[in-house]
Amino acid sequence: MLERFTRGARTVVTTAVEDARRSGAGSVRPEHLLSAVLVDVHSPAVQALAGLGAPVSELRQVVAGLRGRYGEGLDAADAEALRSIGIDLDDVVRLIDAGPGSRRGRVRLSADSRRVLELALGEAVRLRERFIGSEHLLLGLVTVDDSLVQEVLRAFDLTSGEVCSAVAGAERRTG
Amino acid sequence: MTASQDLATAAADADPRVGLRAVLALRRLAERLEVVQVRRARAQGWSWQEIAKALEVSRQAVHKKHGKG
Repeated sequence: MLERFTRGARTVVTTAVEDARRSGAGSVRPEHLLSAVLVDVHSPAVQALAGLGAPVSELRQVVAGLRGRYGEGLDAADAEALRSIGIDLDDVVRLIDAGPGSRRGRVRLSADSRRVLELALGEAVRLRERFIGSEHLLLGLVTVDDSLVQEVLRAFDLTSGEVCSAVAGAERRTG
Repeated sequence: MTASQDLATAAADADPRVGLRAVLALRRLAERLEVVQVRRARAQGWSWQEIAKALEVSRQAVHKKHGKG
């Protein structure tokens, strides 16, 4: 499947893998892919989001806030659930967030991230595109059920459907 | 209210969704803590056997889970 990826989409995947490895994550999750999609400000994915009122600088801030706040593998919903049993996740994260983080070796894609790539392929086929670009990865990201991605969309009052329409609209205009 | 009373409250919640969601979050937190502490132990020169003993699991289990990379 990777041979059908554009250079931009390949860069997104390798950037996400490197990001996950550096941050000591157990696997490459959709949040790493989303952060990587936001690196290239000229990509169709970033342009489509900007057109929907979600500028890249603000997007990066929101993603970084959600990712950094609770550490790997825990999100705002987990924090709320833990509060219901008297655990302050912010306190816990502060306590554990010391020490060296990076791990060596390969970090694999999580099941959800593999699903994102499959969905991206499906979207490219559906839109009659020969190649899979970062915008198709974005479609995969908003389609897969990932709590952090969905929370980012909510922060900008966006739905998955709106993002899909915007990307499809941009494709029709350019190609 | 103490943490154990909170636990009892969540466990007794009429809506199991609340309690079960807390269980899921605890599991994720435990996973996260385990990764951090195993890494720390290895960095301080602990053997897999010592880590396994502390976690009360087999050496094979802990090595299989954390040994790669």
